[in-house]
Amino acid sequence: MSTIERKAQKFLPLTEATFCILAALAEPRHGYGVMQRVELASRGRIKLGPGTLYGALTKLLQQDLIVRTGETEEGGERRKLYVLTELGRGVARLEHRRLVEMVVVGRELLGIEGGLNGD
Amino acid sequence: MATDATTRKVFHIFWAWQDEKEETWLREMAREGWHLKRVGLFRYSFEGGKPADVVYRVDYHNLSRRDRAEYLGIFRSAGWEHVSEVSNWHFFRTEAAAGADPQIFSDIESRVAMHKRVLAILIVFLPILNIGVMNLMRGPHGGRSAWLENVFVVGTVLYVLIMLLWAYAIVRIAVRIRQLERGRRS
Repeated sequence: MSTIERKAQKFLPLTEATFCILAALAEPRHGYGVMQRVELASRGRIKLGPGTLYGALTKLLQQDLIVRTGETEEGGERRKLYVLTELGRGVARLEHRRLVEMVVVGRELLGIEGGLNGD
Repeated sequence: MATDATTRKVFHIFWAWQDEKEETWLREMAREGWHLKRVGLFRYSFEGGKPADVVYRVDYHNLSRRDRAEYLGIFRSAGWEHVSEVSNWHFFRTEAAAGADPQIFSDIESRVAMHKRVLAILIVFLPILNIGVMNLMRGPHGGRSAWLENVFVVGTVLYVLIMLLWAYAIVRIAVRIRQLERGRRS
């Protein structure tokens, strides 16, 4: 197990919101961009509240899972950009693996085949 | 939002552990045509206007000037207007679509985190408050005039009341956190 992986392990499990925010920051995005991307990727199921998002961003910055990486300006609105750190990427990947393992267990024990529309 | 210039000032105490009650109260005021304009420590200003169904939400953040614009920008993009703020409490509102109950927190964990931020501030300031008053009490006891003695007694009583309220607030917020973590609404 690599050092990053060992460090990353301590952050697991993540809340649903935290996992989605990290995953969305695999590429640099601003806060509102994270909300939009997560809503799209979850087909509208996960709508992050602004309070939840801002609280998570400040916490993830403190934990060194994400960093600020400049600003964008769209329509007169200046927005800060965020992106995963190496550790953050490790945490997101590890959590993804954990969730996949859960899905495998679920399939096996519940006898459910297929994906989201499969049951 | 206002159709006329009438302003109403209301004496009101916002207890941090009753955040949902606060939000409901502001929504009811808006339904009666009184729209929040400014929040003071105990004085809320409302602007008279057309009754509307407006959802109010409160959030607690100690923001640096640098982070403020970013914070408000995220809320604005998500459709929330920042109405006012008092001692790190931020008041937001948005028009309520029929049947919808828009939230600024999309999970219990982040709402709990807000209450923990409030709790942390209360606990941090507890010893500071104590040190100030301990110095006061350590002052010379002999040779004080009756007038000064009265001031001292009143000061001590006031201090004890504030400390009791402070401790009460800490307990109530801790209880609120436990309720939220158990998935119950206040």
